[in-house]
Amino acid sequence: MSASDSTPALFDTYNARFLDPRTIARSFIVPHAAFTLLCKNENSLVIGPRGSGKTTLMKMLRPSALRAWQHESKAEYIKSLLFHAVYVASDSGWSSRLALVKPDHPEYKIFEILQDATFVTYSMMSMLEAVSEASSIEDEDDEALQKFRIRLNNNKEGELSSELAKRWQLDLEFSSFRAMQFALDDRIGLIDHIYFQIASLEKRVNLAELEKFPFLSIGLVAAIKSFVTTVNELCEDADRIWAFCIDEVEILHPTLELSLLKSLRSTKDQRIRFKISASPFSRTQFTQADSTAPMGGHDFTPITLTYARKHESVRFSRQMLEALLREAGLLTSPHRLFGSSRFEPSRPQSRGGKKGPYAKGGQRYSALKGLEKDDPTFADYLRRRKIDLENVDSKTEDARAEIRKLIQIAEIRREFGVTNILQTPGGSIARYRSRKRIGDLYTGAESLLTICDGNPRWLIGLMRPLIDEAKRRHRVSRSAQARSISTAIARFLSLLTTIPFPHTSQGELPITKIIDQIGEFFFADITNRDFKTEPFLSFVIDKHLNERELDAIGAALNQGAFVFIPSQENEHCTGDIRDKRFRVSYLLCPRYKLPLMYGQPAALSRILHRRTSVSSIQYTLNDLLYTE
Amino acid sequence: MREDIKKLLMPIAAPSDLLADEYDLGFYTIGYERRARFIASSLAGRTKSLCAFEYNTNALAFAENRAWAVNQKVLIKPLADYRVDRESNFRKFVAHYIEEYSSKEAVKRLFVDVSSMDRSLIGRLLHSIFAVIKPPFNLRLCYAPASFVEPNYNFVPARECAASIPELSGILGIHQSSLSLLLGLGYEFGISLGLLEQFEPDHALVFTPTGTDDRYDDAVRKANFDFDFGIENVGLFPYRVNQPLTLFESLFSITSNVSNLHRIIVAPNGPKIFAALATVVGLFRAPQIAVLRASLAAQPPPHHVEADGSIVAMDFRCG
Repeated sequence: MSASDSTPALFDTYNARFLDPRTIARSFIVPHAAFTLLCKNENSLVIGPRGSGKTTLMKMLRPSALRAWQHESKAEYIKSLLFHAVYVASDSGWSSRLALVKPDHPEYKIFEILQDATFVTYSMMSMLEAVSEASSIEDEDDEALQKFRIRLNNNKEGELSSELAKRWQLDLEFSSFRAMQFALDDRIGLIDHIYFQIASLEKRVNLAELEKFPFLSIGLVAAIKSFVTTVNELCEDADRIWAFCIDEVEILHPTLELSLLKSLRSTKDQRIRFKISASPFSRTQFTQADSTAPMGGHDFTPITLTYARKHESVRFSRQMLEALLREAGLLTSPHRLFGSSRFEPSRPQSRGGKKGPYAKGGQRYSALKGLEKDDPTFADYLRRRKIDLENVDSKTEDARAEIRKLIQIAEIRREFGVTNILQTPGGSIARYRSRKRIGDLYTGAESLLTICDGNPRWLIGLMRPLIDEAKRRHRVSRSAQARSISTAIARFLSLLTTIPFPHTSQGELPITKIIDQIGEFFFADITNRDFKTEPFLSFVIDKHLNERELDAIGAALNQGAFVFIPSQENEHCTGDIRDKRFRVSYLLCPRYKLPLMYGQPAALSRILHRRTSVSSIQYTLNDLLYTE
Repeated sequence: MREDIKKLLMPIAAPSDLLADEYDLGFYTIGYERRARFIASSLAGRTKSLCAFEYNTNALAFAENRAWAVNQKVLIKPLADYRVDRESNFRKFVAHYIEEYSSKEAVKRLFVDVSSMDRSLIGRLLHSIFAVIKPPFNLRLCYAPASFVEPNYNFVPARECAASIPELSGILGIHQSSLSLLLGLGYEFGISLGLLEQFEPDHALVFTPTGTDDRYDDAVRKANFDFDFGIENVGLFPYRVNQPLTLFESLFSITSNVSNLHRIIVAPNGPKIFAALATVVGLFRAPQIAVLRASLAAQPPPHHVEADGSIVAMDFRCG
């Protein structure tokens, strides 16, 4: 809870779905690129894993959210909006009903029809809500918001209700929005009634019997068109544009999901736009021969809420963290709270007489110099490239680009590579590398922000305990940061363990073990005897993977375990993941001691199908949690 | 649940000495856990007829459990298609069995041992009993806690998540109605987290079990990351496994505000007594509440599951 308000704050709740738009707006951190695209008068497909902020983004298009939003660029965003947003949520409860029967059961088709009708009815409710919202805009509201206003008096409301009721086959007691709301509630009750008649075996229902309920055949597009026509006519604004923001289509049954995705195809009706959010992977895909399949960049704008490159995710995460700190009453910077990061010092240049990181004794200088001393292949590389570490500090940032790229790899090799030998009285032994222990490499403000990978849910989960500590001690220790990272990783992996096993050439293999194999492969490539400037740190889903492997990797992708790397601008990942390139989420990198970057790609089958020993088939708690 | 039963149903604490009572009939299961027959064998001498639902397995103690049942002339009913009772065969069987073996004039006395039942069987059996039984009756729900063995803390993949039986699917609710998740906690942290991820409730209440063995309590805490789900809108609700009446009253009271505006989903992981009581509450409030089964990829534990010697029980008296 926010200290000043009794309404829940976004940071207190798990998901934006149940928050009203005003509450969301109070804590909204705008991902500029994504929101700018979403505001365009085009069909959009918002793609992101769980927790990436899809719902928040969609809900922010609503006038009530825009009204409550405090942001310097708010007027510009509103100016760019040429449509009214209608937000339509899906519901996980629907899928658990359908999960009761298999597709070959006679009831399955009936349950599909009932889910379609439920979705259409909820969409109708959302449309009503959008009109009510638009009619609640008052003279006192921002000038910019006035374009969304719909002026309704009792007569007009009655007329609109009556006309819509006719088209949506509703029996109204009287003509008002309230009566329509009741009628739609009754319709949901009727759908429930039909469902429970079948479910409780009170009555056998066959497909033909459903014809008694003509409303079951009202399709979404028909409902939308009748709504748009009726409202626009009544408002005497025939060209008014409506964007239907349909959230989480992956929850819906495959046929409905596919038909909604098809609606992204450009239509001649310029009054209607679709903005749909979906997970990156889906088994529901258009066939290549399907000429009605929409094309990204042509029929719709793909908006990806994951960040292949970290500068965008760090910027977004930093804004979000600063908002969290403000909410907690901590008027300080992330750097002051968490310190600097060995991977990515946030102060690149020397200022006020302080040593720069590349100056003798500076952080980066020490790291590189240490590796040069211990690692002959790195020293050889420097020689070949004519890089003198003593001179790097005097060069410009641009001139230092090559060496800057090496710093993370150097740090990993120095810390965990074969040159890191512990001298003991009994001889030399390679230093033990525990997967559970999170090294200081990953602590510090910049690393923490990178690890969150731009995922609001992860950031909140990772930062909450640290902010609590900051409230007590004004500075967060490295060990507390490491502990919080370790817990966040363990929590995430425990979630991934619930994904069913795929069959690989090595037999059944849990997705977590697949991630282990990928992580180990990358780690081995970095810490190999020979220094590499471009080690393998990403993978391509190649043709040698089987369908069950694809399913498992897709499920992990939908949870955010992997991040899509587009090979060209505007390439997006939705549905089919074959031939696409991914990296391991930065959240998981500390577990495998990987740098927070992506190098060159390896074919995934090369990683998964090689002969390696998988220590045990399942994770145990002790594999995940690190306790000092 | 039928209205006539709803009106008269009284939850009451079972007496401490279950052997003081006699039973017309009792239901239990033949599975791979050795504790599966603990209650049946304890009450066999006081029960006119025993019926065992038999799982399709050969693991661990299954053979000895079956041998005991055969020796005791238990009516063995192999399990098939009980989750969706499409032809009403399950219900008819229960109706016939109760009719044949229970008292016609006096109060029918029956017990259901849920210790080794899966959540769908608990749902199907209780749903069938409440659908066919005629008051007056006393239904005793029994549960044999397992003696503590340090779990291996394995993370096991999920198989599916759906209503335990179709009748307990819950209502759709009005548009964007709020959602509460009542989550019973077992050893499966990933499953619990997965349910929170899947349903994204606006509030979750996590029921944390407390047994009679401190080691069990510690293990539950450890397996669930000290009950830290990394989110704020989760409340903890500790309950004692051996105080089922208190737990039932709590569940009943918490779910009293279920409505079209406020939906409730119960995911009764953890001890089966929690699942059984949640099922009774679900049946009482049906169709409003959803009661789920979030099942793991089935695999027997690496060791025998023995009863700890105690029996947890509570009664539902009607008429």
